[in-house]
Amino acid sequence: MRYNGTREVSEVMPARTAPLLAAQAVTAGYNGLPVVREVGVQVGPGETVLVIGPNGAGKSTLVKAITGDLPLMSGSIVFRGDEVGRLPADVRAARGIGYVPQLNDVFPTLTVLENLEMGGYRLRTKAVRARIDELCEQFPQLVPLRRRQARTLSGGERKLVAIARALMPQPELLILDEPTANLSPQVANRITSEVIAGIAASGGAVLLIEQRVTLALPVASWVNILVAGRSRHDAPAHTLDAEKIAAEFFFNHNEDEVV
Amino acid sequence: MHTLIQAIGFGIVTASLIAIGAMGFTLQFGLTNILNLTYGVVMTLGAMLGYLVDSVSGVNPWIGVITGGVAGIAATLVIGKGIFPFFVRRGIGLLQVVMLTLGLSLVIQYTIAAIDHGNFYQLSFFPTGPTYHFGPIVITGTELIFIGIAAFLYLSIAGLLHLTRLGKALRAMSVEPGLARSCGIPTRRIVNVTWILSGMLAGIAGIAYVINTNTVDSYSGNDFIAPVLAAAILGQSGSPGGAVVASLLVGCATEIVSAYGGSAYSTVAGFGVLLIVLLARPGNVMSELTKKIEFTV
Repeated sequence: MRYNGTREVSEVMPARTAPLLAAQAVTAGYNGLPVVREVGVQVGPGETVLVIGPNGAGKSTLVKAITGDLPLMSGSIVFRGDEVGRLPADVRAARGIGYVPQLNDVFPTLTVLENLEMGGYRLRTKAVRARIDELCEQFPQLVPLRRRQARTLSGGERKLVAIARALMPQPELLILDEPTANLSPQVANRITSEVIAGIAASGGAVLLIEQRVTLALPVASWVNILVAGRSRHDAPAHTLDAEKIAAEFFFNHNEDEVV
Repeated sequence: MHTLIQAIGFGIVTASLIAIGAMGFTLQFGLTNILNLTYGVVMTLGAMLGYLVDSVSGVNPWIGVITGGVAGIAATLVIGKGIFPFFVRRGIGLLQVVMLTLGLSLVIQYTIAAIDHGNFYQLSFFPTGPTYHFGPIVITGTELIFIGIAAFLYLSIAGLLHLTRLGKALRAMSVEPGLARSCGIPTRRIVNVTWILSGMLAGIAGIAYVINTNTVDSYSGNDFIAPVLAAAILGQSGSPGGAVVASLLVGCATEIVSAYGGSAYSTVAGFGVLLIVLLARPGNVMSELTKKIEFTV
């Protein structure tokens, strides 16, 4: 049985605005072996694009190809009209791509304040202080943590620091790779429906990789389903149903975590 | 008791020399993850060129120390920027990189020996300065200056690492190089700064060591790398503070063993401390050595 709920809807799809990020026919992988093949993903200004898929579908590989952590084997990545697919990761970051990796998302031996400073490495000293103040206002939970070493934080606190760090330079696009992995359902819910939804609500463009479909679907405006390294669906979020997606693509496997 | 206190006095002097070297080694190893055994010959080059400038110019012997630092920087940049990236880009492994640095260090050491015909040279011209007595401990002015230099270098590096943006970026890159790149931290500049710092420290440590022992030859740096390596590993990679504390341990152990058991065993003592710590807290030290495989050059 194939999930074809998007087929009829695709004719009435709203025209998407000119994309901020357009990854086209991206093929990338490890040791010469592609993990994702010819995958495309677009993120427009103000959009929250959700990339979902089972374990091993290539979600993180796709993200790493976009951020520059992994070289492209073929394809192109256009960001704000420029081809960035061959630029080193630090240059892509400087161009406005913020990234919260799934693992290794903070500098463990640095304090929370220092982590934020590193996020704003390219800013002027004054701007760094101003941004830290703004982020502490936006996320008051950060205030009591400022002098703590990042490695001493709980999973949720750590993820919040990682997100705030990525937001320091006010990136045009924020990429989050499974931000709720290994978090308790309550904390996962807070991170998704408060923090990420808040960023989206304030007009930021977000590329969100998730396994928890039910949790992430409500905050998404567009959904890209990745299965076995290929893009299977690319459709507006309101045309999709979390339970159907889970039944179709996750084979009810590990349902508690997924749904 | 008298002998012990005296040995500790000598130990502090030795420790200050080891600490200068160990801080440079740990900074470089912490950032690049390359267990760089050419560090020994860089110390030799610093010592040799420092000696050469002093013996030829004869102006102010302390110019030799500065020369040592500059020579160390130059040698390290050639090795770190010219040779290592070439191999790392080809996907060299953890063990191969150690073999590469060992091979390079032997090539350089024997080249120096070929040039100077394997001679050793006296640094008799270096002033020892007045002698100070602290109870049973006797310390010369020169030794006091080296303790001061080590303390000054430690404070400068600690200040750099904790108070400046560049230093914080260096610490950040040591623990999470990938994340540092996605923060937009310019990898190359941080790596360059690290090579320069560690080269300077290697050069100064080299000349300081030979001033203290009064002779220099093509083996000097490779003799001295044993306690430096022990202290750097003991103090945990990337931590200059740890390196200083570990240097004190290694330095005092060296001098105490030397005082009671004979100087032949003094080098062994440094490794003895390392072995004991590896046995007592293996996880702490060994995880540092084995977990990282990504080289940053």
